[in-house]
Amino acid sequence: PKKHLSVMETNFLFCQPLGESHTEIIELFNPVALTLKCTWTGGLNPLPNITGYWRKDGDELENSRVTLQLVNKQYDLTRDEENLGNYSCVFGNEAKVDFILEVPQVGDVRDKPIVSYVGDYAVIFCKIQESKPMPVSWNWYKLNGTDKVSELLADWLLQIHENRNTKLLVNNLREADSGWYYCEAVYAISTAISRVELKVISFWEPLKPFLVILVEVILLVAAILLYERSQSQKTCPAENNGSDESSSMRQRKV
Amino acid sequence: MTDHKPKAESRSDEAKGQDKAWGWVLVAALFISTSLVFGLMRSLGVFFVEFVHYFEESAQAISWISSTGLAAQQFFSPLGAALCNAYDTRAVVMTGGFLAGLGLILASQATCLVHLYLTMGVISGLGWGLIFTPMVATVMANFTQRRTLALGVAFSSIGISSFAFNPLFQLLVEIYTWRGALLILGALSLNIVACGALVRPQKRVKVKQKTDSEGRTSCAAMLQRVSSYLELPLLLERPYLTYTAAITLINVGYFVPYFHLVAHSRQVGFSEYQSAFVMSAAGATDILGRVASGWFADLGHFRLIHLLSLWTTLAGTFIILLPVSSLSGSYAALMVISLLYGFCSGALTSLVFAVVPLIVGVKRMMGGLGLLQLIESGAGLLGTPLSGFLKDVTGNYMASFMVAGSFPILGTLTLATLPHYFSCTEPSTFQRCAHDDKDKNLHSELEQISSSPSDANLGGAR
Repeated sequence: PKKHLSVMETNFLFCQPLGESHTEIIELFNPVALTLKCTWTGGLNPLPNITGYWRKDGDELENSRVTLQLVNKQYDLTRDEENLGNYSCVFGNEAKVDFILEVPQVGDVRDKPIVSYVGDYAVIFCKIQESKPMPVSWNWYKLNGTDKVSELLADWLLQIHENRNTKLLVNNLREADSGWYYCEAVYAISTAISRVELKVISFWEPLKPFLVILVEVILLVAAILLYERSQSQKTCPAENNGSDESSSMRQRKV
Repeated sequence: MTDHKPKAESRSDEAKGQDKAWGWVLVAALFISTSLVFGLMRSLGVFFVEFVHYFEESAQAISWISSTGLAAQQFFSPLGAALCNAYDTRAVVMTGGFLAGLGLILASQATCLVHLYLTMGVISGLGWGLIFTPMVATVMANFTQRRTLALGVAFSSIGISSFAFNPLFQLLVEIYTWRGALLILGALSLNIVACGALVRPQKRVKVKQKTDSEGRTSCAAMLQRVSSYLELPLLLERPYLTYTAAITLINVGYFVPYFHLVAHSRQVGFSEYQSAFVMSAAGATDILGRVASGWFADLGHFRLIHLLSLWTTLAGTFIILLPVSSLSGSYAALMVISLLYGFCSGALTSLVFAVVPLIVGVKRMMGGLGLLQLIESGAGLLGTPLSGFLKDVTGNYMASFMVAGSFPILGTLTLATLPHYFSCTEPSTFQRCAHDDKDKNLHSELEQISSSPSDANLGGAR
């Protein structure tokens, strides 16, 4: 089970997820001081005391290991935290709660590449959900190999930022414009990043299947006409009367 | 239709067998053409999402593309029929296929929305209008005994192909964007040209054409000829008018569940997935209904017009029951009614066109179909806004479905005013025109399903 908590101005957070395995997602926009608190009832046969500790991004945090007493039939483990990351509180080896502290994700991420043609234009979108606060600013950049290329102010590119939306308009596309484009929503605490792939293809690409089908149609029509010619030669004598009926469709009573 | 229709005595059994087989080849051609016309139209939604993004226009502005296409298809249907009467069915369908493909290919280069209206809307729509009516008439003219089944099988393509096209178009858009995908769609549509080539040419037409044009050149004669190509005199005949009125009424309710069933189930509280699944399930029984009703009708136990009345009444009833069934909040009840509704609406679709030659005679069926398409379509376009309006006024879909469902029932009552409706056998003639003694043969043939297939070819029995 996941829970999204949007924290804006609060500087204290108190959550008590119960159960054995649980993930709490906490979205942060501004630097805040958080207190993460975990509670565990100790399973079927709770021991009087167990060891509890914290992990960040999978690694145990130094000096976080403490011995927990069973108080009011539950163990409590707390930690003050102000950095983003994936945190887990672990009770012995038996139970844990995951906290994910992150900036809001850029919404509506396109998992499929945007395709466009050489010479045409393409529009790449990024947006933050309406329910979330506006980012301080937006950035666009492109990955060239492994290097960030921020020369996105070149004249064929146009960045339009509208509060929670941003779009990158790439005019006069060249095949070299293909690649991953990154948009960054900048918040006070960190930046949220999303990426969109742009594929620039030449018009020759769809022309290939087009020509294949065209040839298929031409061959088919030719085959039908040839077949008909061979048939009509075979049945020529029988056709004298037959055509009489063709006029029936048109029934001229003029 | 085709001039390969033999007199029974002039052809060997083998040739007859070949001709019957050719009928099924034409069914396959109709199957492919309808899927490339209506199945494609139904699946264009994938593109509209992309257009909204690319052109940054409202969804409503974008949806005018398909409205223009559908309107053009229906508006040009009588033109398609008239051109077939005047020239050659094969040439008309092949031209239609070419235009349908051309429209989509040009649309792939659109730089503004107007380009899309003109290409996908007008050019492709004109092409689609030249395809459907002539192909349906061609298939019907090639069958007497299994005509409804043939149509049912061919029409089942619309449902089947939209199941296949949706993911296919999605894939194409992802790989090539909407531009490349439209280009490929255009190429796929050109396959209709091949379907049209399967229609055998009418050689006598040319000859007749000459004598016609030699004889008369005056303006009045031209008008008269155009009107006869369009089969406009049909509009003065009571049976045809009654039938068209009935189908128009049926059409008012026919499309409403397509547009509002999902919204209704969402409103009643079912999940998005559950609601979409109700619609897909109804779509599946619709496919089944088309084939099953075609098969059942061709057993010949009942008159087609009676079966049409039956399926229409049932479809109307189930449309009314759709919101009633979900009153209790039972998903199972809604599902059962949707399945039944899908089946009945599919069943009536196969019959609507198969009845036309019985009303106007095989010879005028082409024009009759074209005009029917034009007239009934108006009602189809009217029904959905009407039920949307009722929803806005009352706040839920109860009244919408009630009204939508009562229109097909009203249509059945209109059908009952057809001459000889209550006769248990197909009347010898529906129309008051003098030239239909051939149709007498046709109608009696249709009754005697077990009779020898030798002169089963419509019109050819002259």
